[in-house]
Order: sequence, then C-alpha cells, then structure tokens
Amino acid sequence: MKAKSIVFSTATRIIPLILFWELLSTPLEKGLAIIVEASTLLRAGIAQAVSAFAFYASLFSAILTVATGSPLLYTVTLTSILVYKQNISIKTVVIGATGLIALIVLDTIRTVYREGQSESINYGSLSKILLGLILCTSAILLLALTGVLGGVFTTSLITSMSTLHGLPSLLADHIVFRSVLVIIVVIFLHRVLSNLLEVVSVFALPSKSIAIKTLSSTTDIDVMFRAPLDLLKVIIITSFIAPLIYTVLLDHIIPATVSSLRSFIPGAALHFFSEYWFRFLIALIVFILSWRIINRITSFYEKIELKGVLIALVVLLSLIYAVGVYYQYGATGDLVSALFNPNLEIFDSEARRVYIGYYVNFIYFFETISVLAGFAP
Amino acid sequence: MSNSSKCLKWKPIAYLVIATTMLVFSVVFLLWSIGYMERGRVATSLIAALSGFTLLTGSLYVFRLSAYSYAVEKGE
Repeated sequence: MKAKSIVFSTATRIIPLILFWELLSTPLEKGLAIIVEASTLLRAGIAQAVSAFAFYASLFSAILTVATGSPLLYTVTLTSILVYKQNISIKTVVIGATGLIALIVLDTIRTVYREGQSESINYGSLSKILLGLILCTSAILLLALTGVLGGVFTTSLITSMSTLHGLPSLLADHIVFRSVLVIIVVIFLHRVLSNLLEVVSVFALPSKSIAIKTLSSTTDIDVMFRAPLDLLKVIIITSFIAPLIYTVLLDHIIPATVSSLRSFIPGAALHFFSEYWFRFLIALIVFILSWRIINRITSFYEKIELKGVLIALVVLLSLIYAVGVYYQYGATGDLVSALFNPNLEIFDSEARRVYIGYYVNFIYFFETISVLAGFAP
Repeated sequence: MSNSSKCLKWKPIAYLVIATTMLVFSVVFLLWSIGYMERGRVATSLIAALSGFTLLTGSLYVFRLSAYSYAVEKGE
C-alpha cells in the first residue's frame, strides 16, 4: 500500500510543524525586525548573544525538521528553543517530550515498513506497546533527572573551586574552563545514560539474537575493561615516583660519579654539578623518563595479576614497618618495644624532604623564567 | 538439571548486585570529591573523582554484561 507510506512520511513532518508553529510564524509576523533586534542584543552581553544565537539556530533547525521529519533535528530544535526561552513552563517540556515520543515511533515504523509486504502492520500485543511507551516516558524522565543532577554537580564543583585561593579559583572563574568542564560532564552523562537505557531496554524486552550478536562482537563488549582518564592516573603515579628516583640520583649516584671523575675533569667544571640549573635538568629528565615508563606499565598492566599487585603492596608496607623498627631499635636498643613502636616519623620527615626538594626545582625554574621575561622583579 | 537452572537464575542477580554496589560507591566517591574540593584539598578531590568515574564505568560495564547474559537465557 503506497498510501500508508505517504501517511507516515507526512505525519513525521506535520507533528513538528504544529509544535514549532509559534516559532516558525515569528519571522512572518515580525519580518526584518528580528535581525535588527539581534544586532543590538549582540552588543548587550554574552547571555543575550547566546539567547539570540539559540533563537536563530532553533529557527533554522525547525525549518530543516519540517523538511526532513528527522527526530534528531527535532531534539536539536527543542534544545535550542529551551536555551533561548530561558524561563520554561512545564507545558512546553511535556508537549515537546510527547512530540518526541510520537516522532520516534512514527519514524521507526516509517523506516521498517516496506511497500507491498503486507496489507497491514502488526503492532504486536497491547502490553508490548504499553511497555514501549512506559520505557520511552521513563527514559525521558531519567534524562531530565540526570540533567538536573549533572547541573548540580558542575555548579557545586565550580562554586567550591571559586572559594579557594590561587589556581583553582582562577580556573573556576574562567569561561573556557567552565565550558570545557560542562562539555566533559555532558559527554560523560550521555555515555552513562545511553548505557543505562540500553541495559533497561534489554532487561525489559530480551532478544536472544541481538544479545548473542552483541556479546560476540570484539569491538564492543568483549574487550579489556579500560578505566577513564588514564592520563590523570599516569600523572599522579609519576608525580609520586619521580621525586624518589630524583633523590636517589642526586644524593648517591651523581656524587659518586663526580668523585670518581674528579681526576679527569677540571675544578671549574665541577661547580656545574651543584648549580640548580643542573638539578632542574635532572628533575625534568627524571620526570619525562618515569612518565614514559609508567605509561608503558599502565598500558599493559591488564596482564599483571591482582595477586602480584597485592604482594607488592604487602612487601612495601612491611618494608616501611621494618625500617621504622630498625630506626627505633637503633635509638632505644630495646627490640620488643621497637617492634610495637616503629619510628614512622622518620618517613614523614624524609617524605617532606624528598618531595619538597624535588618540586622546589620547578618553582625556582618558573620564577627564573618570569624574572627573565620581565613578569616578576 | 534443576541445580543448573537455579544457578542460571541467580547469575544475573549476582551481577546486578555487584553493579549496584559499584554504582552506589561511585556516587559516594563523587560526593566526596565535591566535599574535598570545598575544604581546599584539590589533589584528594581529583583522586576521589577519578575513583568515582572508574567505579561508574565499571558498574555500567557489569550492568550491560548482566543484561545481555540475561537476554541470552531468557530471549526468544
């Protein structure tokens, strides 16, 4: 039946036409006045400029939606309308969401339906239609809820950062940082939500063939689990490891090398090894090298067993304990009391010395750079 | 036979319990990250956020796995 196909194609265009009629009719009423208004708004401030931009975007995508009947363009239009209106009534949201559900259903039927295959379309049982409708509605409700939660999370993060001193507050007040943060949160929430909705729909309407197809695909689910933000992890581990290597190098290996080379090099050159430029260079090289090593290790650490990691942790802790006991025994001479009271303060002072001694190099360096460039006196 | 079917019935639920626990912990970690940021502990806050996001991704992965294993058993 050709008529049915035409009906579906027309319906997907009539629904957005009705819903966006208010928006689409504005240029007809006001004509060129809108453009003049927008040019004055652009000078008024960023909020008005965004609003004006959203208005034109919604107008443009509304025309495209009516022309193509695509649900994706419909959501783009709806979002831009919500951005430019700013004070949104619940009626707008409900009507928009209902239209979206209707459009998605009609669009699916339109793409699945083939000419002349059957006289009528089998919609399935009533319970399945109801289940689908309930799923769609709860999906949109979940979407709204997650949007609100993401907004609360981002806002509280930014407000708590702007109350701090120094770099965090500078970052938090900058619009680029805020935009980047919002974009990251939106991308992350999109991934979370699409996964969750997929899970819910698979549980509600299980299909064996789709499940087997998904489970056997090696690009999607049958892969090694990778944690997000690998870079941050590498930075944290590197900034923990690099000072230790640097201290060992600077306290033991370099003095030993210098004293063994003392007969070969002139005394003036020896002075170079105690300059802080040299120390900064060593610190930088150590950081880059340990960065590369950690990156290499974490990229294949999936093969390392959990047992090995646990054993390494236990060994590290017992090493710390043994050294603490050793220092306490050396100080008091009483082994039994040393076993129960290991001197852990030595680690505290040593850790302070190691980490501060390492990072002070970078502070010296940036200070020198700013002095040379004329930023600082 | 009855033993194996019982086992199959419990498997998705066990996955679901693990995934839900991870989800709850991820929310706790994300809240902690905001709390640490308010008290000015930037690095601790970042580590808490990292743990939260990792737990969240892991729980989603387990959720999907449980859903598809359920669908393989129950689907038509």
